Amino acid sequence: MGLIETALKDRMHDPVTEKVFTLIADYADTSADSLEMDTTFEELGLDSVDGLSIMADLEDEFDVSLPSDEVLGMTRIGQAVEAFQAHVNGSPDAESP
Amino acid sequence: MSPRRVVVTGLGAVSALGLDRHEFWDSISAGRSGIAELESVNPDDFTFRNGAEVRGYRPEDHFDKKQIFYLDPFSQYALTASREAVADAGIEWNPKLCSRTGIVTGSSVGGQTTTDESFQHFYKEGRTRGRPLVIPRVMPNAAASQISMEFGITGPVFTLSTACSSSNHAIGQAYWMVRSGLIDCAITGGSEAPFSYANLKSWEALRVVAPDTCRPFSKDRQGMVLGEGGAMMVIEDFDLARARGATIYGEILGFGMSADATHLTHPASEGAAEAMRRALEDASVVAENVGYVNAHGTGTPANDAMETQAIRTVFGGHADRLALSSTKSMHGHALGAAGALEALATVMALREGILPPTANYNEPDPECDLDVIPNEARKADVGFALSNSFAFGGLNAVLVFGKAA
Repeated sequence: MGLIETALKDRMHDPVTEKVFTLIADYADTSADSLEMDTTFEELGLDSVDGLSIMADLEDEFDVSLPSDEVLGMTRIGQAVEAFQAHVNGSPDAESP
Repeated sequence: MSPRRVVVTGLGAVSALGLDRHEFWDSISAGRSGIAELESVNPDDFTFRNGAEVRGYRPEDHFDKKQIFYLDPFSQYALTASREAVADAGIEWNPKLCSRTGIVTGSSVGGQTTTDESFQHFYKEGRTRGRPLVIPRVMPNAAASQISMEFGITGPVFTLSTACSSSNHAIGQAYWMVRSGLIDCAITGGSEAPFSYANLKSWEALRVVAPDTCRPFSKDRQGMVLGEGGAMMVIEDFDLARARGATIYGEILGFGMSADATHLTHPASEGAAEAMRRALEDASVVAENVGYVNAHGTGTPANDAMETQAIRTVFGGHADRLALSSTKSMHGHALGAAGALEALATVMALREGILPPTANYNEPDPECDLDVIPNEARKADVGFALSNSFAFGGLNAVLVFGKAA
């Protein structure tokens, strides 16, 4: 199993990652498999209001409210994954780089 | 500088009568009504069962997924009708023309479908987190803004909301801007999408919606039937239209407005008459030359008797020689889109020499004793026509159209 396949397999084992990827893929009208942690919203043709809509859906999904500066500063999918993992898992480690 | 002539060069419509201007006029000129049993809500929940809903319309046929996120149905109807009108007009946009073009739209309730969904989200589903697209979808100017972005139009763009007169007020302002030379061209009309449970329940509470169908001027009329859709016209300076060899459907000759200043929902004939008088004066058309009136004709007992009285006041003896009809009997009362749909019907009536009928008409009413063209369209070569809109709030707006010369 190559590195990419392993990464894909791992991310789909994490429910937060899976939800973030599938929801963003749905907004961007693409498949979750085509997305990477480093993919930016801009690359997907998503603008700031799309970003806010996606965050609102994810906040509802995980029943957490992210602070505005965190939401407004997001440019990459990975940032959304990390933010929701931190809040959902309640682990401060998840917020560390 | 003498005022410019303003002509209509493009038409577009989405309504209960079909998804384009051809289907609209084919039905209107055949006296075929689009009123049918409600599909968007359960008719068993209401004292009325019928509406003039847009049928067979699929958003994905007109917009991609991302556009749909931004578009309440009222904006979709406006944009779809605008695309058709602009294509029909055959306009080729350039930066100068874009800056010399305006957009004026009318809507009574804007994106109320989105408002309704948003309220359900909070009050019914008990959610506490909103959605960022609700505000930009709901704002009544969303439709006008979407049209401006579609074509890159950078001139004056705005929206008027005067209930059932919204589109006539909008078309009137666009007309005056072109006539005065402020702009050379405009896309103008209106749209409405009023079919949500809560909005229909509120109409039910007013007890003005007919339990059967819309029968304007008929003695057995029991009220209005709600409709939806959008209609847009491209209007432009006559010289510009002629220079580019555009098809000229007809001419806008005048516009008049008034306020009843009496009651929020009960119409007053003096206010309606004053708007018609001012429109004729603005158009420099003498009353005796008017051959057709597209009536406000809601089908409520109060409106139709009031309108008959107002027409008698304005036209005197000529009232018995002109013809009028209410096309709301076919496309329903589309509120903020009503005037725009009726403007299309009026322009086409003059162009084709066919006066649309008042459908669903059963028996004469002494209080509505004018020639209302019952049930069957009539061939008639008419030079000048009025299109009336009288709104809740006592706000009246009347347009004068002329046959293309």
